Amino acid sequence: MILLESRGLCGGYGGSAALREVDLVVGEGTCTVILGPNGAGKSTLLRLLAGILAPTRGEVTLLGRPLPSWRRREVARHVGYLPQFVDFSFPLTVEEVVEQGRAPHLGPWRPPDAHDRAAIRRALERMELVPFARRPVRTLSGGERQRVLLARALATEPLLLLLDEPAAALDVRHQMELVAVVQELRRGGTGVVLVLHDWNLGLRLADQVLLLKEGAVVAAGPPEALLCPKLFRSVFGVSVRLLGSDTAPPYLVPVGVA
Amino acid sequence: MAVGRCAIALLVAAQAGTLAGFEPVLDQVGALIAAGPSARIVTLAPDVTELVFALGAGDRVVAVAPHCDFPAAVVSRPRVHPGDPESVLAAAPDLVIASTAGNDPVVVQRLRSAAVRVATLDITSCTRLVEACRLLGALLERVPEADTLATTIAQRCAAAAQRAGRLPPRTALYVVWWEPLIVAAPGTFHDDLLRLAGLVNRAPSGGGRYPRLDPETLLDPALDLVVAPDERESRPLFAKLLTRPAGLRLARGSLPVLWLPADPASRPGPRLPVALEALVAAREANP
Amino acid sequence: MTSPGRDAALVTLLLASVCGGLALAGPAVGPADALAAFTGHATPEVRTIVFALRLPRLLLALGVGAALALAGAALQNLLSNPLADPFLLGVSGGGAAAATVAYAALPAALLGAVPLAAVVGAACTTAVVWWMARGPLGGSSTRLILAGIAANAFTSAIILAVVATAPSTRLPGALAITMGSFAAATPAALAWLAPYLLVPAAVLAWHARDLGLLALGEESAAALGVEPGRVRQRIFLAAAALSGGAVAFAGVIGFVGLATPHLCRLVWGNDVRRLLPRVATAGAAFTALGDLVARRALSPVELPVGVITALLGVPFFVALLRRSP
Repeated sequence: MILLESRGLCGGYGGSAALREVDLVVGEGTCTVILGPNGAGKSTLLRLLAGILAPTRGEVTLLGRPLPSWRRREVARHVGYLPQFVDFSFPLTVEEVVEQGRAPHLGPWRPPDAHDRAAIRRALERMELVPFARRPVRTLSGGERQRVLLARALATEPLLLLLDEPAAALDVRHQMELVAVVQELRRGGTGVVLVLHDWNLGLRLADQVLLLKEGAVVAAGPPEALLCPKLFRSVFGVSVRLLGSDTAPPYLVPVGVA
Repeated sequence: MAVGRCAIALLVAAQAGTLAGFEPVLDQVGALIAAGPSARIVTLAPDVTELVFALGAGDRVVAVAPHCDFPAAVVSRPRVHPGDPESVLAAAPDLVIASTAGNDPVVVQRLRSAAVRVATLDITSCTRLVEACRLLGALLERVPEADTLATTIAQRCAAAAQRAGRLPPRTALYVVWWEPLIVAAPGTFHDDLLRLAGLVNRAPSGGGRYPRLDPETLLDPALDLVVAPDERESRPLFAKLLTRPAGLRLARGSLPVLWLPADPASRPGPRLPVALEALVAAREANP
Repeated sequence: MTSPGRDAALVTLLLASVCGGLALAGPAVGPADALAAFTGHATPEVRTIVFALRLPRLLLALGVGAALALAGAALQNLLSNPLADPFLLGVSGGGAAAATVAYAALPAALLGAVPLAAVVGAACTTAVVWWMARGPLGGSSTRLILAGIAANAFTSAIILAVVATAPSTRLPGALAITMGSFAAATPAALAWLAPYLLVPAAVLAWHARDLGLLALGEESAAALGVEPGRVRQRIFLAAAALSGGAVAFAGVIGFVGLATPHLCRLVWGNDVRRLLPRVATAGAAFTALGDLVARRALSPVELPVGVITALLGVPFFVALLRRSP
């Protein structure tokens, strides 16, 4: 089943279109990885897909219905979004932040019931946050904060997860943990879209990869079709070597500025 | 430096004055006023203006504060802004007379440092008013007129106080403004008016000279009467207060208001005895 | 302390402020006579003082305190900025400036229109601040706060100009607006204030969960189903009505809107749905106690209640702030 689809999607900030003509289909139980250098429009694409930013042209459909015809809360129920930046001026505890993930299901009045509490509990456990549950998020490290926000997105139990650089501040063990979580979600039928900086992590996770440069899609397809040093060289401006092309898994290594 | 030069200038001026036959004098806030001519006078408060005119020196007044309206001759005089030293200096005065009730001491200081002679009156009672008359008499070379005015004021006040002495003592408030409720505290000439009229001021000291009171004070059974100037401005506020719970005693008449002629009661000038006599007469009419 | 224990402490504080406001507040009737007014053994004069004078004043203090505290809580969450309060955004300043201008300039017969001027002033300042904060990317919290600071500078300049030029008879009243007082409380004033308190409070209650989500910023809230544009507009208008109404009937009273939500967050956590009723109660009790102190400290002289709320609140606030994470 197709969860999310974009056709001719254009949009950005301040009038100049940051993103041009993106076509994308996200199916049930698939993982899409978006790669590209800084300023390529990766985060803008994710915001457009989440419906937080309105497109200047083109459209996004969620479960076959155009996004603007959905109520914001219904979108939030189906689409979990992990923003790159969250303002922690308030001393909210880990538990309070993860609880927010249930808000789309609760509406203005309903208090969390047993099912909501179980979802919150599972998310905290999955992200190994139970020992921190009562600590203010402000007092946690960058990686721990990222896990809190990921747990919040998981607590929503959406059909589709849009994650903006979820691995940026994670240590190696928690990166591997993230890989395991994404695999689990896929098996459960959730669609996942990730913005990543780590090519190899992305290539390993993805069913399809989107390579973005200067707001346009340079290449899209399954990871094995994109394993081409020339392509990465032209997108990222670095010389690239491909290691272990005959022994799996293949590995792309940047070796210097091109 | 400026202070030193100023002090020297004052000393020189004082000696010149002595030579000319005039003495330097201390004003009511203890500042020394050098001897010198007083041909161009600027007055910075209505009560001060009235005093100067009452001493027969009105023809020497070249400019006055905006609110000065008595006697009639003052109406056509040019105006200065009492808060702006430059506007005062523009009138080229050789003597400025200010009052502690309403004039800024910083402005007085500025004028002094510009080598202008400034006398400040501090009239907080009828006695101080009598002293102020004599001080102005010396400054304006109107000593006999000042003696007459001072004696008249003192005699009228004493006579009114004597009449009031025959009345039973009562507690009172002098209301300056009805909403918010602002009254005159001890240390003001209003308080002295109450005292001379045989009334005990219920306003406490320690909250400033014109404190704001809890409106519930007007319902305090220990309060016998209220004294207020009959200002046109405050009448609508008084009428509004009568419809409020706090105005209950006023509306029922169990808390009488003794109205005083507004300008004489609000300005500690030569007409102050008028206000006191009106107050005593009102007391006699409301036993 | 357990959660019910904390709630009980809050209710006790509220009851203390109510009893104090009725029994101890004024100079004319002592506590014993005031209590007799409730058992029916008091003179009509005492009953007037307790029920017609002290009760409306107490209710006004409670209502204004609740309004300011709610406005502060709403603005802090809305702007994800713990510094926000009605003063920071210029809303109270706009109301106070309009009220002082009206007080100094209107003929005496029309001084009853001063509260109306305050509401209009607060509403206009709100609209101007909102307009200033609109950028090419829509509004943002930082722009809103900057616009508020600009509005504040402008409105305090207006107030200073009025104070510098007002006729001396009007000066005390004009100054009283900038210092805050509940002395003008009447049943009519309470009836006027009620919609300014109740309607915005209902709006905030409806958006309580959204406010909680907004505490982590607009993008984060939007991702969880809040429509930031519309919700922000409603909450900002509600906060403006709350603070405009407060200024109109009680003048400028500082610190309640800033401190009460913080104190409550330290005690009850960050769940806005739990927090709002407690913030309103705490603001009401704190302000009514402030008024009690303002009337009793130098009785019968009345001190500006804003001075008291700041003098009492700041040390307490600083102590709690130092201990919070």
